[in-house]
Formats: sequence, C-alpha cells, structure tokens
Amino acid sequence: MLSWSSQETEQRINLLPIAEGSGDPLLPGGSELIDFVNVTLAGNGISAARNAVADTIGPAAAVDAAAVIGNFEMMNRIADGVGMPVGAGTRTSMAGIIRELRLDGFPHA
Amino acid sequence: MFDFSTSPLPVRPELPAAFRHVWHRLAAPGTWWTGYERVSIASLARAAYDSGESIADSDLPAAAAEAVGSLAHEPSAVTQERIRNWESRGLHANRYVELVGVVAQLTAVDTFHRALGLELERLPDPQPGEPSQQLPDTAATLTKAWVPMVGPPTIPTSLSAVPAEMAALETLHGPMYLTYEEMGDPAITHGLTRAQMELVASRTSAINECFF
Repeated sequence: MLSWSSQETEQRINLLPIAEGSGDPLLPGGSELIDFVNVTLAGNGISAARNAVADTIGPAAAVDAAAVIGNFEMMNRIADGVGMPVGAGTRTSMAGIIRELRLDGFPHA
Repeated sequence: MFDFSTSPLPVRPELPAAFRHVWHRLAAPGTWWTGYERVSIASLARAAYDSGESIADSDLPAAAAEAVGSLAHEPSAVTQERIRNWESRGLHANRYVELVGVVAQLTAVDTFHRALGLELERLPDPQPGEPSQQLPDTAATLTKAWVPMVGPPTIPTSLSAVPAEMAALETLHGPMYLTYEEMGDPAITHGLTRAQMELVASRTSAINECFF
C-alpha cells in the first residue's frame, strides 16, 4: 500500500528504513514516525518519540500514528492467527518490494 | 469510560466511540464464548502482552489459554500445526476465530493507549447470557487459510466464520486507520498523509514479521 500510494501521488520514498528500523524514508516526519513505532512496540521511550512526532508534523499526526500502530497490531494478529495466504499473483506483482523489505524471511510469507 | 480529557494530545471523538462499542461487545455474550469467557480472554491477552510470555494460570481451557498467549505476545509463532493441536484439544475452529478477534481488538485499543502514554482502560464487567452460536448466512469453508472463511481468504473475510467479530473489526478499522472505501484513495489525508499512514503500518508489520 505504501508503494502504491507513493506512486499514485508521485511521492518519492525510501523503503529501506521500514526493514531496518532507522533512516530517512523521505517523507515529512518519516524518521520520527519510524522511531515512534519502534519504541511503542518495544515499550520504552515512548513519550520522547511521541513528542518528536507531534513537534515535527503536529499533534493530530501523533494521535493518528498511535491509532495506525494499534490498528496494525490488530491486523497482524488476525492475519497471522488465521493463516492468511499470500497469493501467487501478489508475490509476482510485489516481487521487488518483497525483496527490498525482506518479507520472504517472515514466518508466514 | 475512555475519557481522553487528560490525554497529552487531543483525541478525535470517533476513537473513544469505537472503543466504547468494542468494550460493550467484549463484556456481552459472544457467538461461541460467554461474556465472562470473553473478558477472561482479554485479561489473559493483556497479561501475556505485558509480560512477553504466555500465562498458564487462567480460567480458560488450556488450549485456549495457549492460543491467547501466543496471539498476544508472539503472533508470528502461530502455525497451522499449532491451530490443529488446539483444535484436537477441544478449541473448535469457530471458538478459535472468535478468540482471535477478541485478542486482536484488545491489542488495538491497548496499543493506542500505550502509544499515547495513557493508563489502560479497565476491562469491563462481564454480562450474563449465553453465546448466540450464530453461523454465517453462507457456510464458511476451509480453503487456503488455516481457518474456515466465507469466500476466498482475504483480510476482509478473515473472521467471516464469526460474523459478529468481523463487524467488530470493521468498527475499529475505520476510525483507527481507514474504512475499506477510503483505502481506495491514495491521497487521503487525516492527521497523517496516506503515505505516512502506510509507513507506520509497514513498520509495525515489519516488527511483527507479518507479511500484510
């Protein structure tokens, strides 16, 4: 979805920080958002990371980021819990992203 | 309940509204579990998430308690073999699907609170009554996913064997991320731009080692 939305909006983006957990994704507040996800799921240093997001791209952005993290904590558990298959068509159309984000190393890929 | 007046950041009203709906449903009898059992599932999931390990001491049957623990703190470790093992020990597929829904919804709400530095909401008091045992209008079947679904296995049909859980998932999915209709708009912007939303979603999934 990230690749698709960035293509549709002609937004250049660096996907590597998604796999590596640090770096500049080339989006406003991107580094701060990556860090906010990291610390929220790790359970420490959340306050500073949240404030960094709010200071960089605004309080509403920090609240929305918290909501999106929560939503995908939910969706990941559902996808893993039901054994959602990845179709051959998806694998073909996403081959480049699968390689770049190292998704093939994931248990359910 | 879900009073965000002390939140360090302003919380838009559709979020507490969705959370209240989920809490109300959590306490009520579900499709295959009683209200008491559903709150027990949520309580165990919260404890497992906090501790990073499964908790053996529970009112739930052992197979259900194992499933809750794994889903809560290490969902990528759930395998088809483990689900079949739980099934062979009495955790029927429909009961398992509802359990997945309860753990997932609890995790969504709790994670939002943790991210904003807010105290977790107290779990609701269970409501009396019996599970509805309502089946989907069209029979769920086992195809390429590990649990039965109505139609081809996709995220929107993931919990379709238990329609009430599918509806609850959608109650949260819209306010916390995007509705299915909004997902078709690559330029949609709320507090975050669409690209920023997807960056957060992708990094969350990467940490959880989840393909989706």
